[in-house]
Amino acid sequence: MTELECAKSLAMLSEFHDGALDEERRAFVRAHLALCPPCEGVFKDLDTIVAAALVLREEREITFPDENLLWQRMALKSDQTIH
Amino acid sequence: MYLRENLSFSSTEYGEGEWCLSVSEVGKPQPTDIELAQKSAAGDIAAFEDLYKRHFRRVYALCLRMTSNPEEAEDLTQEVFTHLFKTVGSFRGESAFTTWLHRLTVNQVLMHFRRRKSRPEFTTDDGETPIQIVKGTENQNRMPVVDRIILENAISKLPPGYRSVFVLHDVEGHEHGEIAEILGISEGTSKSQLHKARLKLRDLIRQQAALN
Repeated sequence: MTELECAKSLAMLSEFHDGALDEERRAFVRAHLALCPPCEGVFKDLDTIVAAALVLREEREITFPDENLLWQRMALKSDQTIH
Repeated sequence: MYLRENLSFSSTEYGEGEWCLSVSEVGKPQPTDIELAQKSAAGDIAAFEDLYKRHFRRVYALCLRMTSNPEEAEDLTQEVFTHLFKTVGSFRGESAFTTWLHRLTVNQVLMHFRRRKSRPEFTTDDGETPIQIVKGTENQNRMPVVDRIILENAISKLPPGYRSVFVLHDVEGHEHGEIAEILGISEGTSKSQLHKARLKLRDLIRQQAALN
C-alpha cells in the first residue's frame, strides 16, 4: 500500500460508506480496504459514528420546554413585535 | 378564531408534530401552513400561535441538535419565531413551509455561532479545524462504544460548519441537495464538510476515550 493509495482511499471513505461512488471508485476503495487494515480501521470508525447518529435520530430523547411558557416568554420579550 | 381550543399537539416524536383531532373535529378542514402564514403576516396573532404550536418542536429539536445545549436551544427557538413573525410575509409558498422554516432556523443558529465565536480553535482558511487523519492501527486510542452522550458531546465540539452539515445529514437525515439549499452551499461542499465532520468526530471521540 502506498501513501498515495491510502490518501486517495481515505478521501473517498464517506462517499464509499454512503454508497455514493461510481463503480470504478467503489471497486478501488473496496480493494484497498481489503488490503489495508489501518484504512479499514478508519472506515469502521466512521461506520460506528454514522450508526450512532442514526440511533440519535431514532431515540428522540428530547425533553421539550413547555410550549406555552415559551410562547408567553416570547410574547413578553417581543411585546412590541408580537402582541 | 381557529380550532386551537379543540386541538392537542401530539408529542410522539420530535420535529414531526401531528395534529390530533377530537371526535368533533374529524372532517373539519385544517388551515394549511400557507394559510396560517398569510394570516400571520397580516397580523393575526392567533394564526401565528397556531403556526408556532405546529412547528415549535421541530424548531427546538433542530436548535438542540445543532447546539447540544438546551438553554441555547430554547433562546434560539424564541429568536426563530420572533424572526419568523417579522418575516413570515416573505414566505411565498415556493417551497414547503417546513423547508423554509428549517432554512430560517439553521440560519439563525449559524448567526448565533458567528456571534458567539467562543471556540478559539486553530482554523483553516474556510474557518474549519484542520483534520489530521490518524489511522486505526497507528494510534493506541481505540474507538470506544459510541453512545448518545459521547456522540452529542463530540458534536458540540465540532466547528459550526461541520456540525451543521453532520447534524443535517447524519442526524436529521437530509440529502446533500437539501443541505446545499438550506445552507446556501454547493452539494460538493456539503459532501466534503460531512466527510471532514465525521473524521473530526472520530478524532474527538478517540481523544476523549484516551483521557478516560
